[in-house]
Amino acid sequence: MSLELPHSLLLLRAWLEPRRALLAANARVAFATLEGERFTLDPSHPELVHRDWDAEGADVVVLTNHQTFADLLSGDFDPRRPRSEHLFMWAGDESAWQSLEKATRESKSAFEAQLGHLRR
Amino acid sequence: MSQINPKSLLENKAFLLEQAQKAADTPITPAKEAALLSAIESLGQDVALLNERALTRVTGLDEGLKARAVIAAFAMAYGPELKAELYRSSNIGEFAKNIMKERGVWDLHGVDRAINRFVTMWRSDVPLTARDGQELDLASIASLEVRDGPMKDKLLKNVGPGDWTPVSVDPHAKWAAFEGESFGVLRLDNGEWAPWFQNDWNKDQFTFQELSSASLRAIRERLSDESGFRGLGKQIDRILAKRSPMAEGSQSSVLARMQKLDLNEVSSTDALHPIDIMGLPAQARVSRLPSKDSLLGLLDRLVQPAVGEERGTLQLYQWSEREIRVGDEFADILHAGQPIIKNGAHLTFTAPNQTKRTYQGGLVELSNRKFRLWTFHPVERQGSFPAKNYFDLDALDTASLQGLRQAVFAMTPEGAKDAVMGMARKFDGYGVSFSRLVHQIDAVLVERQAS
Repeated sequence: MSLELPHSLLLLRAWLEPRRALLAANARVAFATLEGERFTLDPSHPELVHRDWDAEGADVVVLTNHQTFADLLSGDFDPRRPRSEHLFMWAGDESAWQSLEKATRESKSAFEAQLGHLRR
Repeated sequence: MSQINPKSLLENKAFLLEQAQKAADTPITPAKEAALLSAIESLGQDVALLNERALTRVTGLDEGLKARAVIAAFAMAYGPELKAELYRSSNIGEFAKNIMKERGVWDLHGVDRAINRFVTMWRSDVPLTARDGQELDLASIASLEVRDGPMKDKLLKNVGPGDWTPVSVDPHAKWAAFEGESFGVLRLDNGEWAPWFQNDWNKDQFTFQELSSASLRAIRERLSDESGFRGLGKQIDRILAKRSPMAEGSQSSVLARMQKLDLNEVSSTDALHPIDIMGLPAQARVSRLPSKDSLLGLLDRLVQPAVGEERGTLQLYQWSEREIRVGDEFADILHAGQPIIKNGAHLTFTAPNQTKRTYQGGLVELSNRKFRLWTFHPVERQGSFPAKNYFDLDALDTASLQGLRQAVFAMTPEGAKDAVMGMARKFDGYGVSFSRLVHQIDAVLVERQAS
């Protein structure tokens, strides 16, 4: 099914695709946003980031909003000092989070740095 | 012990009555009410740790919730009578109304003293523990009289069961007593201050640690500025500092609990709006939840666009808090998860491509005022509930549509049995909404007849 992904999802997909091999199979992260979006980051899925929603099967579930997600990618979201418009509630397997963190470690991006802060 | 100062009692009663009035005037949803009561139950006696300062630092609480928190903390903190009265009431709002009647709870034994103590504690600058020591009447403490010269009565201290030892008093220090000398403060010959109370023929010495925090604060307030009572204030402050939850860390444990309570309250609300989530404290908004289930449960309760499959395409739907549940044996009208109308309509409807297979389902009014049918998906799940499939009204067979029309029309302004009820429905919003549904059903039926 062809779906229009928000701009930030395309960014995430483009950025993670080259690192797919580094992601563990158990790094499936199901995202829900307050705006109503549902998408899943799934290393074993052909599209890597896709719109099928399987929260039960995901290793980590995240509730966030567009603003926070975009700021996470751009480095404007600091989990230690979230602004009033930020939301990032997550639950699930910590090792899945670590896998994502590890796979992005070499990227030296703001995204990787904030992943670590979110885990703590 | 002397009588309570009538002026302060009246003022403190007025404060509680004001909160009770506010609770009664500011309705909250039954779900929020139940969630608050449940949170208070889980906090138990610790509810009494709340004070004005702690409550104002909790974000996301509206006026109705705040007023109820005051009333419920008062009820829970002071004895089984008020607690029983609270639980006899169907909710905190009703309990508040009972308080306003100034009958019943006001007449309970000891409640005047409880009111004075509670209000003083509520307004203190740090959370104080309730019943954390022997309670004295605060108004009586305010009337402590300063005495010069040595105390002439024998002062004893109980060091064990039935074993009293004489206590040496600083003969040059001032001392204080209530009128009638039932209780007071004096200085021992080691320089420490100590409270005493009259015990038959003697005065018995005990320690400040045995007094409640509210009593200690009142004593400090009354005597620390008096000449001749140097060191008393600091001695009391040391005791209070050890008791204060603020001493345990940089943040009050009460505040931390309230923030948790606030989150629980939100997560157990039937209809949750995104704005409620964004109103949470930062550490709750950006946090790890204990389990996936808790997060999925939160998601289930969010009033937000939901993903529903409709004939092979993925679409987003917005639904309001209003819901009509149509099952095999019932048709319930709900608002924010609470039934507002129930009737016994027997409705069966059939999902597309299914023959005479009944589902539990219902109707939702979308933000564009269009109604959609929904059924639970037999396999797929969204969070901890079955996923919902959404369909146009056209998905219902004609007989079901006619049955639904009949049930819904009975709840419209036009379907009211008298003009007064009709007018009421016109203005309450629900009736108008049901009229829209009837018109949409009619449009489908007319189209079918034409084809």
